[in-house]
Amino acid sequence: MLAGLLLLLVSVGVAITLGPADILLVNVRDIVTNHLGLTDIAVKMSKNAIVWEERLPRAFVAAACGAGLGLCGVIMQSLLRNPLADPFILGVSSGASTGAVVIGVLGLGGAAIGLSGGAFIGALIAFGLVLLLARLSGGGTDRVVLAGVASTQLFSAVTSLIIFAFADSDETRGVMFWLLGSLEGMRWDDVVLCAIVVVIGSFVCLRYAHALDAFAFGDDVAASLGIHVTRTRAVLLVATALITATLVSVAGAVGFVGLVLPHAARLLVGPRHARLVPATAIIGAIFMVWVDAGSRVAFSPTPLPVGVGTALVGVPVFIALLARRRRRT
Amino acid sequence: MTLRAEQVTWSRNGVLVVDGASLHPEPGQTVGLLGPNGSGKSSLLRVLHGLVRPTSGFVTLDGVDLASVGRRHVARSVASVTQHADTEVDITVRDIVRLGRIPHRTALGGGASTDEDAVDRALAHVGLLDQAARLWHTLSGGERQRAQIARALAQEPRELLLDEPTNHLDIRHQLELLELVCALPVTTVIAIHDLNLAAMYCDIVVVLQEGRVVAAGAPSDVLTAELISEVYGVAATIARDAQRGHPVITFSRRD
Amino acid sequence: MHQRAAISLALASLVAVGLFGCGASEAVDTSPTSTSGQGSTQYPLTIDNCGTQTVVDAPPQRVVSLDQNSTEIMLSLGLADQLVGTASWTDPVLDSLASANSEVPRLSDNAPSYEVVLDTDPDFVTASFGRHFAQGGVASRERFAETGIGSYLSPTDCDNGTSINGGGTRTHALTIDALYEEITELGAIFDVPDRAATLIEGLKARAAAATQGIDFAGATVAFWFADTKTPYMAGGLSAAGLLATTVDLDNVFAGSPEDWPATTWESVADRDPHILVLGDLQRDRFPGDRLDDKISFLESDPLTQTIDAVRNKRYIVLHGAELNPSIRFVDGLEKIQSWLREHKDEL
Repeated sequence: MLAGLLLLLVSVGVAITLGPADILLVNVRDIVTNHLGLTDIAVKMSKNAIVWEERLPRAFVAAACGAGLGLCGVIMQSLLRNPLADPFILGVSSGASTGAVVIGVLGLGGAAIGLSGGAFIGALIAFGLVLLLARLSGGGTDRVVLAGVASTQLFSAVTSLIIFAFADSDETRGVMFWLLGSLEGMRWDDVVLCAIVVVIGSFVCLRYAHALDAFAFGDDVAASLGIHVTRTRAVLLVATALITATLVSVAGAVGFVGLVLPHAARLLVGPRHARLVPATAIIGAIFMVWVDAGSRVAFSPTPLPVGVGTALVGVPVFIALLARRRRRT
Repeated sequence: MTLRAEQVTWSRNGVLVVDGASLHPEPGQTVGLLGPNGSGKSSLLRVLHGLVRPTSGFVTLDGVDLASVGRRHVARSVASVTQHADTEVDITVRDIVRLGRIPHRTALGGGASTDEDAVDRALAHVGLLDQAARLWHTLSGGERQRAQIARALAQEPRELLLDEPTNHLDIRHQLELLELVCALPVTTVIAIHDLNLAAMYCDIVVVLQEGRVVAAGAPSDVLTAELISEVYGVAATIARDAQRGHPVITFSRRD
Repeated sequence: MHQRAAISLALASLVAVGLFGCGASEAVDTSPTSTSGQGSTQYPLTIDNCGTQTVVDAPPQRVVSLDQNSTEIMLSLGLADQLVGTASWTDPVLDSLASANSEVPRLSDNAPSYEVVLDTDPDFVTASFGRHFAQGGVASRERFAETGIGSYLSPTDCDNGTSINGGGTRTHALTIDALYEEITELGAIFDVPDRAATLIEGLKARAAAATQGIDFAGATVAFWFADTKTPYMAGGLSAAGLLATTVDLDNVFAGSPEDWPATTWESVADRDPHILVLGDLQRDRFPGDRLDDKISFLESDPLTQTIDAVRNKRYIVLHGAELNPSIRFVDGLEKIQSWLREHKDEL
């Protein structure tokens, strides 16, 4: 685990130097030590702004998103006993998108709430709908999945409707960017928010690591092992929804991370959650830091939405995983 | 002391599934739960384990109402093996058995060495110690059942509840499993289809019909031609095993 | 096994970072930059620009212009030396400005990322469209201000202190005065007020000449910007709408408050304009951007074939920049005038 954290720090350090602007590792070193109050070296203002106000916050938010969405993916896959589950299965990302376009395109609420605030509210409403639908149809794992699908479809349709009916081409492009997941414009308060949420989320996950193991064979076996099935499921679903809603409202719907990374981590450390949870978080963080650096560089000067990058990398990985499963069975 | 069911009744979707059943196994006994499909065997086992609450009547553990005993405490005393446990996870036999230690884990997570010892003991009991690294999906039906039983044993329970564990197994594995179960020092309640196997291996049999207990006692006392005809609707002749004295049931063709 | 691999990878990376991370800090040039100006503007100059107060202490020396319209104004004011980057090009640059423009680095054909802009080490940023300063754009004006970079948004995009392109709607029609205001303000900011005045006079003269003797005899017009599926037509308050009112053409979509509402061919056919102004967009990103695509669509589609302008092939071709608020507005007027001279008897 320590090795993983070290790798993460190194990744951040190196990834920071990647981008259209020419930044060297020595620049990064100087800028960081300046801000930590250790040195007072003269640095070009633009480089300082690029490193400290843009790339560093982006890298940290990327790491937080990778870790958080990866963790939520682990929870969803284990809780719902479905290897294709991901954090967006609860309708959270579609709800967030709807919330964002309601603010961004319809202009309701406006400056008071902001795009992110609207997204967060939308996410929670969608999740609430999922819980309601699941309960109305009897509760249980498969009901939750179906309710999530229904909610996702509903909110996606509403989002599309609003965009199509009310958005002009510039607004559409602006919102699209957000819908695909974008780390443009990340600031330090975004970092703090995401970091807090992910750290708390990690602790919750680790605390429930044994319960997640117990769900491997279904609700009855879990109950017979002493797990409070309904309570545990409720806590984990709510935790997942809150973490995902926060991350999505900050950085948009970054796809594939929550789906693919748990599988990758499982390949490396096995299915026991006491190891899987931290491994997924670290691998997720490292992965996103590199994808973020890549999306800065790939189509420069045009910024690439990071969600496009995760899909481009995630899809071939996912296909490889599927092939591996087929060979097995 | 043991798990006892007192006049438990349970309905599913308004349909009465278990109707005033009582069960009083003695410590160390192997109790066979018999009855045709739909007679409420699985449901009674679920009520007995506290997975569902009875609509009337109660289940006690050591004389205390099961509903007021903490889940983890129950899990340390009672373990179940169901019919169709399956998983998509790439889990090894050892990890499966290790799940049985979950009820014993404290919040601080101590006791790792005692856990491993218990896991080894459980694996040895079912004869899977040398197979501990194999993956679930590579196991045969019989090996899977044994792995689940090992998991249940790792819980170090006093009571073991088994729901038709011999389904889908070869005859040899059926016999091996039942021998294993019989030899266990725990009290076992086992729902079972096959009357002859029940007769061979159970100390006591309890026969259910439409959720009610219609007979309980030693196999030789309970398994009579009249009962079998009444409950199962088939004609049978009962003989006695020369060596061990348990009933041997022979069914007659219906035509 | 996996753990050992991870640890060795981590240690190797740490060593590599150590090797690269050690070294002398980069030297920073702190010599003062020279200023060139008339000496007319009183600094510090405070400009109240579309709801944001911008304070300029000295004429900016390193400017990034985020839109073509703004760039062409700056080049026309002789400020090529102060431009360190341009972006968002919809058409080829005006011929008269081509050689000046060739000296200026083009950062992007579309909108650039914040980093790319910052990498030019700018002290000022200009834009014609407010979307660059909005969510999903380059960066907000406040964010630019954090690193001491002043910003300026064209008054043509401003209505009551909000940017139209950045999400607002016009409450009154765009007038040519907004363009002259932009030129004047930029002239003040960069301390070249005389050049600004000259440019404005030239434009006014050309505009007056272009509107002389124009009589469209009450003809109706629609301005088609792009998209063959959901055609974007000019609304009444936009720059294209201003073209129409300046030459006394009746814009059939004058009732719409949006600059470029998305309409349907049904509603266009219903209004049956006599003349269609077609945008010839060099960007060529969507079906119907290019002129020939537009014309071949209009003449082959069974619905659009019925439109009066299509039946009689009354097309006026304008560049994208001529349909948006910019100094090329006057070029647009001139093109309309020359078309009318040629086709007057057809009306």
